[in-house]
Amino acid sequence: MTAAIAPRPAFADAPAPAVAPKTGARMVVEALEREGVRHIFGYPGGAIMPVYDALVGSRLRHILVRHEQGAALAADAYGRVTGEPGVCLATSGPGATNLVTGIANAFLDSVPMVAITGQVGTPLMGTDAFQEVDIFGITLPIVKHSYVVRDPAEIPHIFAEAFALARSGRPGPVLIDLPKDVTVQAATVASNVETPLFELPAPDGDAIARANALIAAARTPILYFGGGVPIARAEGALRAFARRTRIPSVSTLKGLGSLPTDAEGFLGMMGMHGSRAANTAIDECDLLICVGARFDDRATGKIDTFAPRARIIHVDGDPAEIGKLKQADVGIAGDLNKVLDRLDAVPADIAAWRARCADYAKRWAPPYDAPGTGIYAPAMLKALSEAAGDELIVTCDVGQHQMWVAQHCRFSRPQAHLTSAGLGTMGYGVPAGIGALLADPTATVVTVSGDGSIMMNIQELATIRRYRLPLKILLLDNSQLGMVRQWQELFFNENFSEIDLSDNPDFAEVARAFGIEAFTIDYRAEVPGAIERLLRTDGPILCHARIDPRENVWPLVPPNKSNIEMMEKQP
Amino acid sequence: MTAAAMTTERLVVEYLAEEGALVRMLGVVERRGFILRRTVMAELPCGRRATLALTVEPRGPGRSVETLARQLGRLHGVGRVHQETTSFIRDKAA
Repeated sequence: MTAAIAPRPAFADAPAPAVAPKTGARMVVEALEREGVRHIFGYPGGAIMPVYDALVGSRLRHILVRHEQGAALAADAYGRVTGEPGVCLATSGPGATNLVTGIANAFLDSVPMVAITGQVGTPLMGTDAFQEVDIFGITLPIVKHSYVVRDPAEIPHIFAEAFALARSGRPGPVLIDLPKDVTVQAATVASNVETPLFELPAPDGDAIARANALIAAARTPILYFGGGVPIARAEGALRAFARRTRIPSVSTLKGLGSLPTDAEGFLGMMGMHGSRAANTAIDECDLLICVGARFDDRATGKIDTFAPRARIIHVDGDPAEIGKLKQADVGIAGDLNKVLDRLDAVPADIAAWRARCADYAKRWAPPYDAPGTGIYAPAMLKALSEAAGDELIVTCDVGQHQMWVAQHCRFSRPQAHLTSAGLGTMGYGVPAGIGALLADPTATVVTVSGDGSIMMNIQELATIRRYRLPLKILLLDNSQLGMVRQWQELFFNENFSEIDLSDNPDFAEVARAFGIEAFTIDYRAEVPGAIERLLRTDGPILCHARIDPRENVWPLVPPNKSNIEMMEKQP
Repeated sequence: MTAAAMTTERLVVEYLAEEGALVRMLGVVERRGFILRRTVMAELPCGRRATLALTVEPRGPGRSVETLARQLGRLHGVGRVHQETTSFIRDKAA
């Protein structure tokens, strides 16, 4: 066989008119301007200083973070919101390695990003020089592509190609390593730069026909969509398909918002912390139409028992995802917009199936009437998202609060829900809030964090203050690593190990020390006022909400179990 | 000793011989759960274009060489990936 390969770009062979010599650093800045970059997230240091020198007076707005990981995670969120590569910049050695988590985050979630690192001069490379690290080698498994620039004359071409690669097909991070001598040297380069094009393969017409036949014959079909939909900006095509076919639907964590939460037939998130309605419907379906999802283990549970009665149509922008974990009856690689538009068959009669799914959704709707007077986080998150409306963007950290956001918040667009789904990066929320606000200043951006996660990048409160970003932070504090505690309770015989964070600082005082307005609440009766204050305040604000440390995330599919073996909260 | 029949696959990859290309391809083979049994690299007459023949064996069930071929194929700089199938007998400790 021969694997399907995307066509490679062709560059003009004819020499272009030359211009006056420029330093490599100047060419870097001009290349970024040419790509339409408006914001760069970064932190200066020795090897990247020539680029920082060239930044002065440019059209680029540099956002000085307080740790390079914050730069990469902010660039990640910027890329998710705009659909264009977020750009982060760091020096060599520790500056570069501090970007690694953010680059991996973008890789696992297919986010367009260009990461630029300084490097020691080429004569010193490979000599264990001061602040030398092989960032090209370190990041090989977590980038879509990477470059070491050896000649300043290559800079315009490499940057054009890097941006095209980062944003095309299945997006991802691209790393450009810039040795210091390359940025200092001057070179003469062509004034025109070809923009390479990388196009997805055209959908297979025979496969489309076979998929349409399966859809027409289905009696209990389910539409299962994921992060590939927002990546392809295909939510419009997905919504049209769902309206046309009226097939009940479920979402992965990354797909949330591609259909509005209150769309007809939408059964919620599937998988480990998915709804019982979603997981049950998948178990009973006779046709699973997977669009832009990859049968991730958190979504499928034990994969051998996932959708056991279903024929499978798998549509994805990345041909390598089709058949990787679950064999499809029909696999279609290509632009999701084009494929969805051509899936024009309609099931003959699924009224009874739709009614059954609607009954499941109603019967197993999450309760919000928890006993007691304490703050019930799911109810607070639901109320907050409803009050914020369609302008809301939630950036999450990782843990119990992340799952509560996914389960209970209302989303009307996929860019409204920014979460570290693949890598599960604690510390994502606050830098992502920074990136989201700069990408869409008109949005109401709320970071939902936990007391474990927020400490991972709490230094970025200084960045929020510096740029007066009106980020609203809801910190759900249970004085524990709640998700780890939940698993120790349920699967490790309550042998609680290293989850106690009861010596946390006073988070409201910490926020105020950074110059950010903050307040603390403890009771359910305070929630409406807290939501109003969060949304009404013009500048940055932190609401420190202390919640019950015994609260768990329900439902839960235990490890190595089928999704229908989910555990529920015991009354 | 017992003998177990193992299936190996031979992939022939056409690629641009740019910095890091070889390490990038071999890394994909290892990370995606295959043992690299043999490699042969040849440079084509035109200079930057090269071919790499890889004989690989899955580390366990559920590893599809078709998927590996696609994962290699999506690397920037890789042109085409051809797949051939062979079999051999591997000695295995009892």
